[in-house]
Amino acid sequence: MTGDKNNMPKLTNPDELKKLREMAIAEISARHECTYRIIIGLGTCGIAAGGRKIMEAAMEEIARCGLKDVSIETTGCIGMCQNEPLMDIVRPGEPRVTYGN
Amino acid sequence: MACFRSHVLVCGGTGCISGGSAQIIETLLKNIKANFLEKEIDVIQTGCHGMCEAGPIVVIYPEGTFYTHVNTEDAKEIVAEHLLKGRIVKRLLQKESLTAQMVPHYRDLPFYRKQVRIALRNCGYINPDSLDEYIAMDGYQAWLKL
Repeated sequence: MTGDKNNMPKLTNPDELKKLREMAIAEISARHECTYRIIIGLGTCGIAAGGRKIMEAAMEEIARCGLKDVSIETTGCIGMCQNEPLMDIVRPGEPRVTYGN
Repeated sequence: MACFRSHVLVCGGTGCISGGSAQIIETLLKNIKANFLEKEIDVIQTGCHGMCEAGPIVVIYPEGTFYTHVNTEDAKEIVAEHLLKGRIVKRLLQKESLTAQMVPHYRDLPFYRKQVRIALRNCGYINPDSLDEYIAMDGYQAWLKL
């Protein structure tokens, strides 16, 4: 459980506050309404094909890049089972793109 | 920095604590670990949501699902159904959510949609003990103006 943040070092200049704010926003981005959405197929077919590993890889990459406007969601089986693991990316103004296998 | 795909916010206000929300957090953590979900799901204790008659309250993001009158058995079901399988536990939804066609996001619930919160804008949304979360919600920004 995160949130035991009582060992915070002193901030001595405004840039440190700005940097900390960016990092903190990224950490709680799951609660915000994010512009970009990643949707991973985790129905029975998705799980069997290893969808969870794909989701973990996506989460690690988001953490590594410090992205703060991306939400990761899961969905059930969309019917294209032979192409699982499936990952959809939704960007505003664009049609939904599905990546298979 | 860790990225969690889902945040489970459990109300830690006085009403919900007396209704057993601390035990709910324990049960959630135990079941999340048992289902190997601890790298994906974060459990956070927040402040009071304001709807104390509906407690204990659990809100799940990014869906914004608003569960009310939750007990420890319900918490187990929330992990097994909602967190693991993505199936919303309808019987635990707040009653205004049930009448809508699609389960509304927390911010679209009639109770909260009509409120304009100023001093209490972060209540129920962040962990009040976390300075990081406060800073994410624009805490200490006045310092930059000095």
